[in-house]
Amino acid sequence: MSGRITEVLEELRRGDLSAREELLQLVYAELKRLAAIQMNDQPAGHTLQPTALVNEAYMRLLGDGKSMAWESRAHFFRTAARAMRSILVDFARAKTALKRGGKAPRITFNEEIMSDGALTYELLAVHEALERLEERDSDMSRVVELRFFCGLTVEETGRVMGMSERSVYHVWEHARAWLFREISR
Amino acid sequence: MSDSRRLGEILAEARPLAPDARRAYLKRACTNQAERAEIESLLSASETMGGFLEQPAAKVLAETDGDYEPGDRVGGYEIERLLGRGGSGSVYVALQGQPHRRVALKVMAGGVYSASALERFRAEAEILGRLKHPHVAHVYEAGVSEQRPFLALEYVDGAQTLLQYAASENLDRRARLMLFVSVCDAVHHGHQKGVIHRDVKPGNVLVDPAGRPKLIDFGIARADDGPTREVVGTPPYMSPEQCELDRDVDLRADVYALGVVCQELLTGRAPHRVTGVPAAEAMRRLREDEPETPSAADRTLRGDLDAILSKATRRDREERYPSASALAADVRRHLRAFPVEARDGGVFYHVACFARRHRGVFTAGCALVVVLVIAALMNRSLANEREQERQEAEWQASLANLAAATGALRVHDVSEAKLRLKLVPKHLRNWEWDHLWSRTDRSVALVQATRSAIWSGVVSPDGNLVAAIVRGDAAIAEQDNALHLMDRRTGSRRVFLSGDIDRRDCAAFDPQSRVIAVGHGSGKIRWHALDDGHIVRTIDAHDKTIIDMEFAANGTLVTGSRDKTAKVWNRDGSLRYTLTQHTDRVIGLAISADDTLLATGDRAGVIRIWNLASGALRQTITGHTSSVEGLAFSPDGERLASASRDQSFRLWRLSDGSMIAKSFAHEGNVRDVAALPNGRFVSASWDGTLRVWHGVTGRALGTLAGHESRVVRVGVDRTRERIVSFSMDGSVRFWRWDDVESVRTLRAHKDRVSRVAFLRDGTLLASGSDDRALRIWSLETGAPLHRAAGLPRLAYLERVDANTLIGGVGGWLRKWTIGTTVTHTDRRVPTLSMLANAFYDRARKRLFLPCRQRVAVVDAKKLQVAFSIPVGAASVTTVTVSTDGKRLYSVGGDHTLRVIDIATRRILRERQIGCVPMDLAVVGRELVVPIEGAIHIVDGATLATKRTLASRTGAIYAIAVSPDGSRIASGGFDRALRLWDYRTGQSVAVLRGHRFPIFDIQFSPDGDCIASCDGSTEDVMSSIKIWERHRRSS
Repeated sequence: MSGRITEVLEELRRGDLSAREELLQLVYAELKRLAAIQMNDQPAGHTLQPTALVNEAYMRLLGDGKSMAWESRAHFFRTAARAMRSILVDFARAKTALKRGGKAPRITFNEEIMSDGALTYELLAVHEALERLEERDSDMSRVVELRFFCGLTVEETGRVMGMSERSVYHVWEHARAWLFREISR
Repeated sequence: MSDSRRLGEILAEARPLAPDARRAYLKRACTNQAERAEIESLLSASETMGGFLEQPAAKVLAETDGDYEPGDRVGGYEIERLLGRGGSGSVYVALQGQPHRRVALKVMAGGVYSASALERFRAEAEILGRLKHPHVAHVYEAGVSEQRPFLALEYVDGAQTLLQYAASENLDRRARLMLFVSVCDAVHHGHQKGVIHRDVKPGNVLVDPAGRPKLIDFGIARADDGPTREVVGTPPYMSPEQCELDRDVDLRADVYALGVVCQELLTGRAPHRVTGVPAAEAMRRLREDEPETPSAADRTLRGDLDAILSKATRRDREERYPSASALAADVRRHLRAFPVEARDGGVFYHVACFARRHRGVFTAGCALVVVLVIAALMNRSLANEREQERQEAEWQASLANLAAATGALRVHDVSEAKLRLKLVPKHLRNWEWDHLWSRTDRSVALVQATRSAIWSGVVSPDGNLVAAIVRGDAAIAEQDNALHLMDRRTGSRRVFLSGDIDRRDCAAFDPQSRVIAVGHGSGKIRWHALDDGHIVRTIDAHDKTIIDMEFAANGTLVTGSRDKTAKVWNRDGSLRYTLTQHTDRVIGLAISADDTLLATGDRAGVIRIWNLASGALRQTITGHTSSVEGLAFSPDGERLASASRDQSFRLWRLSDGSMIAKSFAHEGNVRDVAALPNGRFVSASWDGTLRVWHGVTGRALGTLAGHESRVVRVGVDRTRERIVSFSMDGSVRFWRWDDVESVRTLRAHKDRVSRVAFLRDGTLLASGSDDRALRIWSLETGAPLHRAAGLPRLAYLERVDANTLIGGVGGWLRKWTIGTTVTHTDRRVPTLSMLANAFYDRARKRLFLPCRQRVAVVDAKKLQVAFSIPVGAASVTTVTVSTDGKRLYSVGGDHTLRVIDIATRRILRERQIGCVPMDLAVVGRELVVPIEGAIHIVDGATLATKRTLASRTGAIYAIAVSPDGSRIASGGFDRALRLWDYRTGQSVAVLRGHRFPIFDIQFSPDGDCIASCDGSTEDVMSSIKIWERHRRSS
């Protein structure tokens, strides 16, 4: 499998965009597996650690990855952020039993047991709004995926996006305001 | 540079600038008007978004926020150190400057808190502030710092949690139970004040080194906002009902948690072992699994404690103890070796308890006969005692719920208020219950269209049909979004269109044919025949979602869209013209009554007025800082009302575009506005309320509360004169235009209102004021009917009969007769000068007037002093007479309460009370006397205090007794109207609303209505309030 992913990344680097979907599926499957392990093995109250998960997925799929071209690493992380978003959204959906229409119940546990704060509900709203943002500006939506869903810092996001920190910050602030406006409409 | 980056940069640069500098900067930096509008809209979003998205998604859990360092300041507190972190926030030890003390500072987790969430937090904190109990950690202050709510709490130095303390002190079972009983008392105190803890657990009970328990985190876990419900609590202490998302939770959840705490305290483990179990699984087990009995963990607990703890932790809360105090009482009974209620013990159990109590006396040789005799005696008294206890517990629970409902109503939280009121058993529903219930929902009719949310709705021009766009909900078998159609004539409701409907769709009834037009997310408009739904016509109207549409009376259709245009369509569906001048989505639309003007509002907050026939732009109105979502012309077309996401309602003068009024009374987005034919406007808001506004001044006239979630649309049914509102709670509600509130304020006096009196059967009210006028009000309309000026300041005003009043001051009195006109007779009473609170004995038609050291008795018919009674050495201020008319009660400057036989003029008894009460009242053979802020119920013969009404209030200026004698109303300096249960002496409701101290209170003759008056010297805001038991149906 690790061989296949290297190939896919190489195809992508050469500009074969059809490989994108395959990469996403590979990374998603691996992350989902790791996330399940991470959540099941831990007592309740444990927080999913996306950055750690993505790094672990990277290690498992690509070894130390030192030989990796910069673009391939970036591709991997962008894809992983996207996959992470799906995982978290699935997670939130399952938990809030969204089938019950718009009135997603909030689940706020105190102290020891998991508490997912007021954000569970917002998380799904962010996801929906982000779909609309994607249509307008893919940079903005990617930055949100990396920062919010994947938990990367501004600096890490800059490396993955090939942007200066300053630019990441500006795009991020723009996206936050945009999404907030969209959600609170 | 990409567009997003550049806009982001402008945003980041502009945000910190002052308004002027910002304007200048934007002018320079933006390349065009559209960009500038977009930036401005983003700026307003970024100013309110707070820490939105700052927390990575995965940290939806345990939002750590150890971002305060020692030395940081939060509110007026200086952080010393972090004490702990929890799901809802962090707790710090902090120092307060004034008064200088150490506090525990609980700072809620960072996140987005809406204005209404913060308001609720404050309201909740205010209730917490009223908790004063030696075993409840006191809340000193609630505030908001950097958008994060915080609470300053009593800090317990050197504290351990309950289990730690019990272990470290190696407490025996008895000591543990005594400690537990104190915790029950603390929880019960909260319940009496209407606060449910919701998270009782050993970690929330701190024990100080002296062994005093302090309950912390009372009800703090609630910062709920909007239509969602939270699950709050900590397994394994959560009751089964708390584990169900949709169940309401009442004080019995705390009883359950107390049971679990006690079991853990005694056995070292909780009945359910769920530590480390994933939440969903833990909750399932709590809901479904049988708990472990205490005796299974420790066999020595068999018997009483097994029974007590099992009763406390029953899965069905109906089977639990009805209150924490009932649980405590049973534990106390066990400690004193009395039979416990939890055990359905037979004769031998009771005899055994008896024996335990009287170990020395009860020897083994007792004959069975003796046992049976004792048992028979005991059973009877026990049954009595138990019944009394049950009633007492039920009563306490009801008081708690009434208090909670009153609090909820103050913040317009109708659903919470209703929930609490429904928990009060029917036989305990009295005046206050009826009054509070009438305030929960003032709509006159309700169609619960669906259990899922309504996103939009519209009323047909004749008012007969109501269409609602309903969101699909798989859970209730309504899979698809749908358009529901309700016929008001037949009361029928049907799913009209299903499937091809989006929540963003909008609809409008064609005024000239039986057709409804639906604007779709795709930009299409479809016309459907109302009888069978078949599509009459479809057009591709817009490039993007149609946000709103509106028909003119002549059948012209206007549409507004996300594509930043508004279009006007002819009756045949052909496009008349497109309005392209908008810089952002067109959201609000309105057409004037005469079809000449069109108003559009866009997302940038700009309102434009167009000539409907030609499409010429007449006027641009700016002022709103966020999107304009609803518009309405006044019936005469001279004014325009606007509703905006900036949370304001505004009224504009169209002749010059000037703003007449702006109000932020709504606590959420104002989503829609409609004009009423009576000239008023009504707005609908996400805060769950509708508000009615004066059509010319824009003054707020009232609030219509009843919806349990966001109100998304408002329309008008002209035929039935109804306001129609659509809400995400799934209901459509109908309200009267001239709705009469169950609390009304009458305001016209220009100075303190000192006296009120009901006339007729309670349909008229008279009021006397320091502005030297007597006013007569219609209580049907709230209108002042008559004003008689030029009076002295009235010291008393008494109802003589349905049409007659008597009032006066000093040596002067006047009798008014209220017929079709108001006439009066005056009388000088030469010997009298210093008059205070007079009393009119209705049965004997005599007025008792205090006059220095005597009380003059005036014949009300002749208006002449019949005789006078000497009442001691000091001036009398207040008098009343016993129900049989034989005894006079007086108080005066010598601080002495006296009872005097009227026939013999003999003073029967005196009592020093150390103050001069401003009012007295008689109930049966008892006398109600306010003594220094406490209300004493005094024996009418001995003058000894028999009981005191529960809590102390400020100085009391007025008391009134309901005609059936079940309720006392009191009011005074603290501005609250308090209702007390006469029998138990407990406070049953505290009604707030008065701005100034209350000087008089009267029940209407039928007892359904209370009038109270307040005032401050020369303050025109002085008012009368009318509190009704039921909403008037007229």
